[in-house]
Parts: sequence; C-alpha cells; structure tokens
Amino acid sequence: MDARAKLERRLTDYVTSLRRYALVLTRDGDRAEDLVQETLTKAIAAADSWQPGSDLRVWLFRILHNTHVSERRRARVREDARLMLPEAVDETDPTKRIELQQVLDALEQLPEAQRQPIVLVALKEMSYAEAARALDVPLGTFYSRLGRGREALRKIVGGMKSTKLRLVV
Amino acid sequence: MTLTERTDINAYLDGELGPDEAAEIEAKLAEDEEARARLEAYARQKDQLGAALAGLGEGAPSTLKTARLQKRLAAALARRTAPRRVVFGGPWLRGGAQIAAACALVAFGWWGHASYAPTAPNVPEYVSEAFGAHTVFAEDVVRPAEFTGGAVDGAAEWFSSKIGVPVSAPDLASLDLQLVGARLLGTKEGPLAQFIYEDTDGGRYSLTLAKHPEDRPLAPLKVVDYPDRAVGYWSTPNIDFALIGKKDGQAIQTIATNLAERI
Repeated sequence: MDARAKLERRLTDYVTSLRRYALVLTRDGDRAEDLVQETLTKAIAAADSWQPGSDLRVWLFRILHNTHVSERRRARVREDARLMLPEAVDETDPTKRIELQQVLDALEQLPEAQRQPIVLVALKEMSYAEAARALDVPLGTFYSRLGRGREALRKIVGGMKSTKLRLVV
Repeated sequence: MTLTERTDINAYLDGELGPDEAAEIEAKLAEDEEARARLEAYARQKDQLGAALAGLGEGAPSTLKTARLQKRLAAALARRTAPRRVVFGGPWLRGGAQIAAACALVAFGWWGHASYAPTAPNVPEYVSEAFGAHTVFAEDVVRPAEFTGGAVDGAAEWFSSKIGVPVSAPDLASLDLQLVGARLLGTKEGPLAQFIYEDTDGGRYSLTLAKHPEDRPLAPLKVVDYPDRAVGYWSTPNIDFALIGKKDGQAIQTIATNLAERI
C-alpha cells in the first residue's frame, strides 16, 4: 500500500472518531456532520501549518474542539436534544442496551468541560497528554476535570439505578 | 477519598501510570473497599461509553461531502511530506536535495506510522526528511544497518562504485564516536551512503553522503536545531554531507566542523 493510501485509511479512522466526538458535543447527526466538515475544511486550509512531526489525530481533534467552541458562541447547542444510541447497534441483550443509553444520558447531564475529557479517553485513542493538547488545557486541568467528571457520572448513573428510572430505548 | 486519590484511580484505570505508581495504587486499593468500588464503576462506565460511542459511529454513515473533504485533506497533507525539489537556497543545494530525495523515498516506508520528522521553520524540506531516515534506521539499536562490523569496509567499496566517487566511513574515534553500521539508500536521483555512529553514552549519529554535482558550488556548513536532535549539512568538491544526531546544534556543529576540516 502506498503512502497516500495509508494516509487516506488513517484519515478515515480519524474522521470516524471525530464524528463520534462531534455527536457527543452537538447531540445531533446533521450538526455533527457539519462540524466534521467544518473541521476538515479548516484543516485543508491550515495543512501548511501542520508540523509533520506532530500527531495528526490530536491536531484534527484540536481543530474540531476550537471550531465547536466558536460555534457555540454563535448558536446555542440544542439543549433539549438527546443523544440516542442508534438502532443499528447490535446489542441483543436489552439490559445492556438500556445501560449503554443510560450512560449516554448521564453523560449529557455533565458540564461540557467534564464531558469532553471523559469522551476523549473513552474513545481509547488518546493519552491524557494528547487529549489535554486536543482540548487546549493544561494537563493538571485535564486531570481534575476527568476526575470530577467520572465521579459525577458514577453518581448520576448510581442515582438512575436507585430510583429505577425507566428509560425509553 | 480526596480528589487527588480519585485522579490516581483514573490514571491507573487508563494505563497512565508507571509500574511503581501502579503498584502503589494497587496497594491502596487492596485495603480500601470504597476505592475498589469506585475503580470498578469507572471501568464499567468507560467500557460502556466506549461501546456506546462506537455505536454512534455506526449510526452515522459518511456523507459524500465529508468523503470529498477527507480526500482533499489527504492530498494537502501528502504534499507536506512528499519529496519535493528544493526551490530556494540556490543551486548549491542540489546535493542536499539528493539526500532529501533519498530520505524521502525511505520516508515512504514509515508514512502511516506515528513518527514523522518534524519540520523546523525555514529549513529545506530535505533536512527534515533526512532526519526521518535517521530516526528510522540510525536510532534503531537492534537492527540499524545492513552492514555491521568488518562488513562495513567491503560495503564502502560497493557504495563507492554505486555512488561514483570514493566514499568511506570517516574515523571519528578522536571524537569518541564508534562506527556501528552502514546502509545504502536507493533513490531515483542516485544512491546515498548512510554511516551510523555511536557515542560513549550509546547516542546515535548518522552521516549521509551523496555525490556532489560537479557543476555546483560548494555549500558551507549549516546547522539546524530540532527538538531533541540537530542536523548539520555541507558539501566538498566530491561529496555532500548530512550529519544528524540526538544532540543540540552546538554539539553537532563541533563534530561537523571537525569532520569538515579533516575531509
């Protein structure tokens, strides 16, 4: 496989991850796709500033993050939107499916600053240092946001279970 | 449990700790039931989120527009690393460009992996690509070279016949550098020789030699600093050189100056 083909394959993987992250940020499929396209457009324009020694994936996530932040200033994210687990997810055990949707719902209740570190780490592709770079925050800040976020998530999910909240899936 | 302790549990869960720190956390976990429950909850939620996020990706197929942008980005990024003739700096850079082309071809071998050679601002692109060849071969302590030990002498003969001018590995013992291997880099513009040296601390250097084009003036020594490494390049009437090492510019300058004076 030549260099270009390898690069394209890697980009396909990155774009898939970017789309997942964009879905969490926007909670809306169309908006998420717009955000990904905006990110790619900016990356094309800034390709000459990309340092070939640096991590392409972190660079792209950083562009997406900054684009999202500036768009939030212009238009509010649909706060009422709910991030739904797609029907296509092959989960035969309905209890598990409910649990997955539950954790997505719990995630939505967190402040965005806490949600982002949790999601970047859950995508299982970035180290703390890389994720902190993508979010443009110091490592210490990243640490504490992740710590607080995960603890809050644990309490929210715990609360959901204890109140036997019924979820429509 | 304090915030710091909770953070440590997170770092442990995400594999961010070294073995000693991890052992410390494990010792704490062994006697703290609440911490164990917390770790278990964090781990379960991380897995569930990972599964849910993977599901989100499946539910959103790529649109044509996204695919088109992705292709354009690939093209733009490929231009950043593809071999390119050096267009600035005057014709004397051509020898260097040859080294660049060699390294660029080699560079395709690791295109797609994580380690690109960084490009410092305002340096000919070939310098960063020579740098890449160095990091792939010279710093590989297990299998850095195709010729090692006594075979290097025989290799130099072969290199010379390929390159068209006599090349050999300079003796750098006076600088405490030991020759550890050699490799011929094939390029569309001609073959180049890479000699690999090791200092007393095990640090690796590579010296890349190319035939100097007869119609080109000589290039003075230039040293470029990279994060963590430096590159020195210059030319003689017969040969163009590039010296790369995991040192600062000053150290490379010292070796390159010494070498340039003796050759």
